[in-house]
Amino acid sequence: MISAVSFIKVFIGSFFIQSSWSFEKMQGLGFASAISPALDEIYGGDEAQKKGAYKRHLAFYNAHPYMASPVLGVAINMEEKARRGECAKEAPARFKSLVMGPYGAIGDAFFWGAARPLASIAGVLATVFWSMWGPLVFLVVYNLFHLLMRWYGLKKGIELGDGVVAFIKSLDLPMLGVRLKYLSAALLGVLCAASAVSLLPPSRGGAMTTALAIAASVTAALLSGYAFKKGLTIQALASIVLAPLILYGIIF
Amino acid sequence: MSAALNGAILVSVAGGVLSLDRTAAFQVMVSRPIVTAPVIGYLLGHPLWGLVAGAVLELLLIGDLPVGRYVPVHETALSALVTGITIVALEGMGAADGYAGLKSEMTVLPLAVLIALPVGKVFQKADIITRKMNARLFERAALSIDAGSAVLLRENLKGAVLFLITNTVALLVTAVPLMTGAEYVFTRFALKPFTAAFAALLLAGAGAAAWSITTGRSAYVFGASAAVAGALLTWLAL
Repeated sequence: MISAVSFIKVFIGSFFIQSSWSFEKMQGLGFASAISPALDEIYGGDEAQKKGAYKRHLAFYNAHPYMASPVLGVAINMEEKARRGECAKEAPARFKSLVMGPYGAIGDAFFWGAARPLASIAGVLATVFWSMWGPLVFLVVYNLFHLLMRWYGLKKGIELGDGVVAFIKSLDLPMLGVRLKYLSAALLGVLCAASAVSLLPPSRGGAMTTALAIAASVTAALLSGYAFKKGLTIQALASIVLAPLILYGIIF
Repeated sequence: MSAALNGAILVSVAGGVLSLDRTAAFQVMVSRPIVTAPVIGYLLGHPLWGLVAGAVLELLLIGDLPVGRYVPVHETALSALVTGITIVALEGMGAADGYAGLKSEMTVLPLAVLIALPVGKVFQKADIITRKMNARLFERAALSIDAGSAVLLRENLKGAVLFLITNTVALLVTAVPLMTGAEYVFTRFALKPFTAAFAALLLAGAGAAAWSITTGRSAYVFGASAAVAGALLTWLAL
């Protein structure tokens, strides 16, 4: 096992895995840079072996940036085994190329597709009720998922080796993602109602007017959501809806 | 130097630094509009105006995901620019600070979004240029790998520096003319309060958010939750 100092260095390095992101090699240089403190410790003064390890990891790599942590952990575990002659030197590269596609897809769907929308909606809702606490709520909700994966992904990868695949599977991120989306939908409903009530309070137009405003806002949100699903871009929507409204506001 | 020019430089530098979080470093999401806009607002002296802009933009840009080789809308630069234009315009109009100025912000914000959205292409282009330039860093690291791990760390971090420079320059090129222009226009022509465009922007944001979380029966959950929350909030407000 690598020392705590090397672990922390790799953990910090994982936050820079996309620093040199390029279309050709994507996170290749970032991955090699992040794992290098562990390789320095594993191979110590054996310069030839160490350089060979650097070269093995300086190759095309692309997955979701947070899901790189368990892969980094497994690569470190396998490099230690390769050093002891317990597995082939090519094993870490083989493992990387096997899992980067699926882990990219799982990470994109879970973190970008479910955790971030949940954090965003929770943050905006918190902004409506508690003003400046909104951004903090967003950061706490999102980074709860993010930092847990970075830390435990790396730790479990080093401990379990390729057994980390079973560990990630046991988290059932796709199902958790679906549950988070339902939670987001519920929060979005509250947000729509709260926005309608604050823009058109019952004290101004009566309860029925407010209820109609809520119903109208939910319908409009669902309709524009459907339009986005059908390929409408934000730019097009802005031109179609905002421009005439602003023009109307300026003229009249 | 005018206040708008000072503000534009501040927006560009702060936006460039916050943009690092988007791809190059950390990714703790301080680059999202809901964080970037209030930070920019705070730097320009109006955090609440920044917060409102950030909340709306956060919803609007929720579904644009960086999957594979696709480079999404640059939400950090866009929110920095929208916040900058909004604040300069509101100051120009002489809007009251804080909550008292929110109605004026609802009038100006949609216009700032409408102006900034097409400019967003500049940031996307800058992002693509940086990613192309980064390919050279990989080649350089591969050539001098015999020098040890320091080369890997150095060349990797150079990528982050490149992102910082291109994002800051792209913001400078756009923020300076747009913010000084907004100052010039809004000190001469004040807009009448008009909140319909803001409501439309908010609804479009809710629609973008609804679309990004569509799964199974989520639309029913959304509708039911709005009905229950609406009834509760109306009862509380009466």
